[in-house]
Amino acid sequence: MEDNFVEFHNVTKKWGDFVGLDGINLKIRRGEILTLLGPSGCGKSTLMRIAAGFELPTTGDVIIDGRQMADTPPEKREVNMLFQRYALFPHLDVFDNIAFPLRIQKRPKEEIRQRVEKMLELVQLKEFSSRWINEISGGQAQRVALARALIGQPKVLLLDEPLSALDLKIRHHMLEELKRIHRETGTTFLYVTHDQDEAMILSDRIVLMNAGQIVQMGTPDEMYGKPQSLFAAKFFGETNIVEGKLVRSADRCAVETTDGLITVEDKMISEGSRVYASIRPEAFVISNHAEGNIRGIVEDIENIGARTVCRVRSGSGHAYRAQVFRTSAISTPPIGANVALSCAPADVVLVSQ
Amino acid sequence: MRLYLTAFLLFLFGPIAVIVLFSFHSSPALIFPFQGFSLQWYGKLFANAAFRSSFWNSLQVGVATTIITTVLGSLTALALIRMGRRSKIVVEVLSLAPIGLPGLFLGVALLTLFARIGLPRSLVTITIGHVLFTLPFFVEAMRSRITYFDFTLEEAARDLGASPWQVFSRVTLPILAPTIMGGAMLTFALSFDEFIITIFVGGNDTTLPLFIWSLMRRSIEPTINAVSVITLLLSLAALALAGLMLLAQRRRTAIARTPLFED
Ligand SMILES: Nc1ncnc2c1ncn2[C@@H]1O[C@H](COP(=O)(O)OP(=O)(O)O)[C@@H](O)[C@H]1O
Ligand SMILES: [Mg+2]
Repeated sequence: MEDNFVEFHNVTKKWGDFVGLDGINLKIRRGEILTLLGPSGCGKSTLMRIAAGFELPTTGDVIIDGRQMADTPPEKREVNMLFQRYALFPHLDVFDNIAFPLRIQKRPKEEIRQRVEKMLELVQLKEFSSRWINEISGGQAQRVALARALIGQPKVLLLDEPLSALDLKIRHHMLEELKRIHRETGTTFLYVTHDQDEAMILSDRIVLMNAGQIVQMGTPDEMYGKPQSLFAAKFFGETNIVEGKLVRSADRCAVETTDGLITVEDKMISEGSRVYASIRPEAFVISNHAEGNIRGIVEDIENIGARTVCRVRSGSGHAYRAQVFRTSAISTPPIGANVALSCAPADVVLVSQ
Repeated sequence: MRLYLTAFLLFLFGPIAVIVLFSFHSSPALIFPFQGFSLQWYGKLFANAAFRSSFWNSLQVGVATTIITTVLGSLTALALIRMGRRSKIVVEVLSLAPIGLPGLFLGVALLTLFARIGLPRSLVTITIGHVLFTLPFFVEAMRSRITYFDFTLEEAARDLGASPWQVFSRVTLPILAPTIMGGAMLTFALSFDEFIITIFVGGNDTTLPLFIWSLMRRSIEPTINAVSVITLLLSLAALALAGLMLLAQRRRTAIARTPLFED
C-alpha cells in the first residue's frame, strides 16, 4: 500500500467568481520531494497555503497523516513553511530565530541549545549563531529560515519558490543543499517552483499545474519524455511542435505535416485525427543526405555551453531547432547548408491540444 | 554648503546655549557680559510652591496621557492596518482630523462637554483633553512606520507554532517597540507643553506651561531660564531612557545566551 502522507481531496478555492483552484486531487507520499510546477498565477502558492492552514479551501478536504485538517489552525499543524522571502524575525538573532519554535513549546534551555546547534550544523552556519539577521547574506538567511522550519521536526516542509530571491550562482548550490538536507532529515518536501529545471533536478515527482488545475503528474523523466498535452510538452524544456494529420499505411504510422511525413510509433490514435508532434532538439539527427524526414536550410547556429543548436528553416517556412553534440563525429554544418533532419519514431511524442 | 549648515545649527542651538548659560548667571541681567556662575535662580525656583505644584501636575498629566495614548493609539494603529480599504479611509480621516482642528476649538468643545456631564475641571479633565489632542499624532507616527510592517512575519510565527496571542507578544510587539516608544515620547512632549486646551479645561490646577506664562506676565525674570533648562533636561532624559531601553533589550538577548556557549 502506498504511504500517503498529505492528501488533497477535490480541493477548490474561489474568491468571488474567480476560481483559484479547481478540484485538486493529490497525494503526497511520506519522504518524497513532490514539486508543484506551473506558470506564475496557476495556484501553486494557494495550494501550499491551504496545506499550511493560512487559507481554507472553499470545498474539499486536506488530510495530513490521516487527520482531517479543516478545524486545525496553522500553529497546530505539523507542517512548516519556508517563506519566499524567508520571513526571519528582525528583532532576534540567528540563534533565537532558529530557537523560536522550541521557545514557543517551552522546551528546557539545554535541549534548545543542543537542538539549535544541531540545526546550525545541518545548515552549516555554526559561526553565525549570534549574528543579527541584517548581518547575513541572502543565501545564509535562506539557510537560517530552513533551520527554523525544520527544528520542530515537521511532518512536511513546504517550500514556496525558495530559490527565486537568490542569485543564479548560489541557486544551484542551494538545490544540492536542499537535496542533502532532505536526505539527512527524511522530511517530506512539498516544493513550489515555476522553473522546470529546478523541478527536474530536485523532484521525485512533479505535478504540473495550469490555471488552477493539475495538468499531469509523474517522475521528471516521464514528464520530460511523455508529455500528455501541448502545454506539458512546451513547459518541459525546449521542443519542436509540428501540427499534422495522423496517417496509416500497411507497415507504417506517420504524421502528415506541411514538411512531409514524420514516422511515429503506432499508439492507436484514430486515423485522420489532428495531432501535434513534439520532437526534442536532441532527438534530431542532422545529415546532408537527400533522404530524411524534414529538409531545410541552416539559418543560424547557437553555441549554448556544451551544446550546439542549429536553426533549420524548412521548405514550408517552419523553423526547427536541432542539436549537434560537439563530441559527435558529425561536424556542425555551415550556415546556408542544405540539410535533412530525421529522428527515431520512438522520440516523436504525439500530444493533443 | 558648510556655511549654511553652520548657520542652521547656530540658529537651532544658539538660543538654547544662551538660555542654559544665563540660567546659571550670578546677576539678574539677561545680557552679556557674563558675570559669573551661581545656582540662585534654581534655588529661587524650587523655593516657589507654585512652581513645584505645577511641575508635579505636568508630570502626572504627562505620564497618564502617555500611558493612555500609547495603549489606545497602538491598538488603533494595529487595527487600522488590518482593515479593508474603504473603512480604513474613513477611520483614518476621522482620527487624523483633530490635528487640523485649532486647539481653541477643541478646548471650548471639551469645556462645554465637561460642563454638560458635570465633570469638574481638574487634572483628570486635563488628561482627557491631552489624550484627545495627542492621539492623532501618535496614530500618525505609528501608521507611517507600520505600513512597512511585514505581515508574513506574523504568518511565519503562526506557522512555527505560536498562538495569535504569542504572535502578538513575541513578534509584533517587540518589532514595533521602538516605534511605540518613539510615539510615547512624542506624546509626553506634546502633553508636557500643551497650553491652549489646558487653559480651557484646567480649572484651578496649573501645569508648567501655565506657570511659565504667569511668570512672563509679570516680568521677564531669569528664573524663566532655569525653568526652560529643567524642561530641556526632562526631554533629554526621556530620549536617553528610550535609547537605553532599546539597547538593554538587545544586550539582554545576547547575554542570556553567552554562558551557554562556554560550557
Ligand atoms: N486573497 C486572494 N484574493 C483574490 N485572488 C487571489 C488571492 N490570492 C491569490 N489570488 C489569485 O489566485 C491566483 C493564484 O495565485 P497563486 O496561488 O499565488 O499563484 P502562483 O503561486 O502559482 O503564482 C492568482 O491569479 C492570484 O491573483
Ligand atoms: Mg506563488
